[in-house]
Amino acid sequence: MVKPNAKLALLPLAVCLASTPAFAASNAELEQRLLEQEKKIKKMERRVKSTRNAVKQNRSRLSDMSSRLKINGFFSAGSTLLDSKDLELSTFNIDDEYSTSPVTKLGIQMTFKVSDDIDVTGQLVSKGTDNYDVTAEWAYLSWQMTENFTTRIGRQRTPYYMLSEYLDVGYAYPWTRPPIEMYSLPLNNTDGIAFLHDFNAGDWTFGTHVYAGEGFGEVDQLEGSFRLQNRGISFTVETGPWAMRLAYSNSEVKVDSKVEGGAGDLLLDGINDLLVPTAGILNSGHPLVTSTTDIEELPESGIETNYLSAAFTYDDGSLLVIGELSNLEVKDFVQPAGDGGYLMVGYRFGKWMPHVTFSRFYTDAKNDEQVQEYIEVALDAAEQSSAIETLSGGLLPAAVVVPNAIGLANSLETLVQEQESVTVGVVYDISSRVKAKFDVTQYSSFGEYNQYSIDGGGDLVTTELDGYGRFGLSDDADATDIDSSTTIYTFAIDAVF
Amino acid sequence: MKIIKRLIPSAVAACLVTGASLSVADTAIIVSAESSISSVDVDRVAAVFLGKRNKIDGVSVTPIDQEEGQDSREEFYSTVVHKSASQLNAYWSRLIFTGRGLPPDQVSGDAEVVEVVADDPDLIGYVSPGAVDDSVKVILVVQ
Repeated sequence: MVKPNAKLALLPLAVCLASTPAFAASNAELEQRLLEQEKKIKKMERRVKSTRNAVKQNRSRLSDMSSRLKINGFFSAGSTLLDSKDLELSTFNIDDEYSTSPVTKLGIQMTFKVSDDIDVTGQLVSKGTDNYDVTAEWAYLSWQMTENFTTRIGRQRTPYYMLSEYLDVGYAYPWTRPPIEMYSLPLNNTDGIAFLHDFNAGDWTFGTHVYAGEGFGEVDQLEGSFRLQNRGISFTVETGPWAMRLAYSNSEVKVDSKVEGGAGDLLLDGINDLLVPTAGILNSGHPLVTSTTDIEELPESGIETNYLSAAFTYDDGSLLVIGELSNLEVKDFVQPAGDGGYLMVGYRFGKWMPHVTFSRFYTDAKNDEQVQEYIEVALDAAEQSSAIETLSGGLLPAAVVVPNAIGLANSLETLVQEQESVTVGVVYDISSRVKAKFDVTQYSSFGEYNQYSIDGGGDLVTTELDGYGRFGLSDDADATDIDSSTTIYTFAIDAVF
Repeated sequence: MKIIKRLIPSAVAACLVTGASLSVADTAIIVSAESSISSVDVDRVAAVFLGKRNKIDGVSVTPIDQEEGQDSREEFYSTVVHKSASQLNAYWSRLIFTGRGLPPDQVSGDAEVVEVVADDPDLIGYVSPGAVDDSVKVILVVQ
């Protein structure tokens, strides 16, 4: 910027020098020339000025662009395995061999400021547990309507539980993975609308989040997917080191697709096409049959679910305590629904934070009774199969009813679950944006379940077996002799940028 | 020696600008000389820099942060906000990745904070008291 100025300053001198040979020229002529030169100078000045302005504008436009677009990201990598040959955690791809995919995650988030009060945010996440497929976990437009009130439209993480919204951001919580007793819902996003309201009163901050929309989820164990109409509300209160949260969500679920012959398909068909008509016969009051209970057909839509959760965090900079409780209710459908919760305590010693967590999950009495009704009908059907064959006029032959009813009873038994875990872990701050974590979690108290079979004499045999909670049995496992506990070891590096 | 060198201008600046007692301060909270804000308490400053508040005495303010690694920044977050750099990043990552907020814009250091704060009556920044000149107003000094 200095150079054009310097040139301009030299101009009058140049003009003088240039005009020296023409000394003899008339005054009028000289004046004329001077005028022309002055005009030229003015022109050049104007040009310099406009160039300067253009540069200035360009610069501000560039800085404007960079301040309008914000890019942030998170990354996790590591390795994990469990120490049992019998059990595996299929939702996380964790078994008795070291694997990195259950831990690896990459997320990129972009927020573009469209105007002073409107911005658009997209978060793309690639996870090892999903074969590194890239999915848009968040994609929404946010409109700050007043200082305290924001409306969001688009895809958002459903805030079922306290950590639900940042479940992928390992850096944001102390474990390598949040307690699976609670954080294992097969659905994450809601496409719809949300209203967020925040306000302060004294040292207190209050937040309310209301949302409604459509969600989509897959359940691997049932080999099917579902859609749901979702709505919910959460309240948060923060003051000093304390934060508390209450949340409620209600959904109406419908089965979207199921693999033909898959677990979910067999369960639905078995119950609706075999057990329900059988129950009708058993409850007909005919002297040949007796029944203790009756059952309803399982719906494929309009299934109501309710989530309720309460949580608190205490963080004074050194001591960190997190506790959360939740209840999931699935009405008129058989699903392992119940209560989960955990309590975590950690203490920071400089860059190190050791922590311990107790966590528990069990399907509640309401769920268990519901499942038990279907099991009882199945067992009644197996035991009274010849009477059913007669009464159904041969439509429900014993040869079909017995194996199917026993199979159904056995798969229904796995819907009653319980487990506990103790996690001991440590977090180390490698830098202000990178953490190393190591967790050891022992899972146990899986309870027992019944396995049914028909012996050579046609009698029902009940065998009590050890349960396996939210885990699954590996292909080589012998269900009559499995480990009563398992430990998962996980090492992870988490970063935000 | 180093400490004394640092402290003398700090104390002088603090006294000159605030007209306050002979306190030896480590962090000065500044606004533009044209701002109508005259004082603030520590908790409110912390709340503003954590994105929980955006007003002081009813006046809208926008915090301006310093880049990581600056002495003033470490001093500010440990004495005013009471968070270590990694706790602060964990805090912001919970807000950023849930779309609830973005951390304040950053400039390179004390000198640039003074420069931008002087120019914009909405901004609030923190600097070591030695960096303060009369283009800005100190509304709080924290030891």
